[in-house]
Amino acid sequence: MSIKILLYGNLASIAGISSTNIDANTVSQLLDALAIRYGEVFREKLYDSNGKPRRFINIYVNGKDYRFLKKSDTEIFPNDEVSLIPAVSGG
Amino acid sequence: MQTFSKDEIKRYSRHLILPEVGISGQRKLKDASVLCIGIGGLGSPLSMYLAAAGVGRIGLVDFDLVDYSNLQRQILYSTVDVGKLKLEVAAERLRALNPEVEIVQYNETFNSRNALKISSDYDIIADGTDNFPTRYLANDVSVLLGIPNVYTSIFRFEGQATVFHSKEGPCYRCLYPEPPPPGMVPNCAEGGVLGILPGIMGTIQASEVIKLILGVGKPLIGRLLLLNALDMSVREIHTYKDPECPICGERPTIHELTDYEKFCGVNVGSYNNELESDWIIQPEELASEIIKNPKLSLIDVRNPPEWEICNLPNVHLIPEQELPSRLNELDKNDDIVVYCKSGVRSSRAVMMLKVAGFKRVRNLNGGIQAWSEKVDQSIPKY
Repeated sequence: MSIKILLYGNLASIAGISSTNIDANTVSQLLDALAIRYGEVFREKLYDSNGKPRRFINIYVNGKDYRFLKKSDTEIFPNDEVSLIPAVSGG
Repeated sequence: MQTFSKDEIKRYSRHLILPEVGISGQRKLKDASVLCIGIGGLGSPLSMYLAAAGVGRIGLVDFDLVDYSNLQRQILYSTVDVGKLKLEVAAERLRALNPEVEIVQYNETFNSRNALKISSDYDIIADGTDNFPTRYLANDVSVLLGIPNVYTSIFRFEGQATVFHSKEGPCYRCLYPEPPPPGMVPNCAEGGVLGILPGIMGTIQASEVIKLILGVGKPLIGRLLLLNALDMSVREIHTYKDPECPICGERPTIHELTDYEKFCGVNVGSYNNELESDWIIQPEELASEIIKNPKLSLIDVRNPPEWEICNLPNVHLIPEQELPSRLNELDKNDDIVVYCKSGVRSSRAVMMLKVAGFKRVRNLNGGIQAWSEKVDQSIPKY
């Protein structure tokens, strides 16, 4: 049983998909798995030069902002839904 | 207290017979004032519906001229308006739509010097701008003045909408504490946008404004609405006030407007600043070098759909995003010229190549648009 991932904005454009599944136990593991699956360009969008998830990408675990949970250490369980939502500015 | 003429009664009749609006609600609309920041894709339907609904005073901030590339989505403007000041065309159109409402024009950029002064005359601001610095500016104005900021933004087929009202919920900085580094998120000009999308999102924005004025329903405060027009799905995410927010948190550190371009790392109009002059090439120079130097290597860092619109001959297409992983396709000793649409993306690519150890790389100043103007007018502008 795996985690459902919803990608938005440029992340979906780069991955070429807006919804997928992945196995992981924490947000940190999940981001690593995504970066491996979708390659260097995706990784660069996801992490800053210090290897931290970029602050303009909001990560929601079952609709809750991971910043207000345990951040990258937030545990995730089978059938959870994780959304990655970057800021966009178009008007 | 506002009264209504016979004509107004007829004009607003479909509102007046709604129990949620009625005469008292319509009076609230007439008493209300809303500032539309930006009158492009979002601001077009937004301002038209606000005018049609009878919002008493509508402020418009914009400094742009109507361009052909606006017409696919900015429904305030017609083909005959190309080249005219958006503000003039919009004001005329809105006054024609509803002469009962007052349209106030601000022909200027919305910036740290004028934003508080302009906005303090309004009950609500509606952010329909197209860039991160102005979005953070609109947010801070809304928090400092204590007025709601009705927010929508768009990307390709996706829209985000919410109401930032720091007295009752999170602000933009609570949601997105930091902007993306420049170039990390393409804007509509770089990434494209479905023309209808700002129509959908701008009308959602107008609905939220009207609801706030009427005090009916449940506003999008603390809720981020995500719409994807491609699979036509709508989702809602709960957003939270950040106790550590630098402007609306428990110990705010921002008490006045700051330099938003600096905050967002943007240096408007000077994208070549970091490049020394021998890393830049003018279109006319390139035209003569292409003839003289057959070994000159041209790299196009735009996206494939842009390439299909127009391109230069004998060019290597490597979209900016793919460049880091495709450096092995290039020779560090080659004489390379990089171009994009207008020179911004390619300036970043040149910087990247420079850092990666490439010896001679130059940015085509002004991109293929400048090439079209100065060298080959058969190349279409887009």
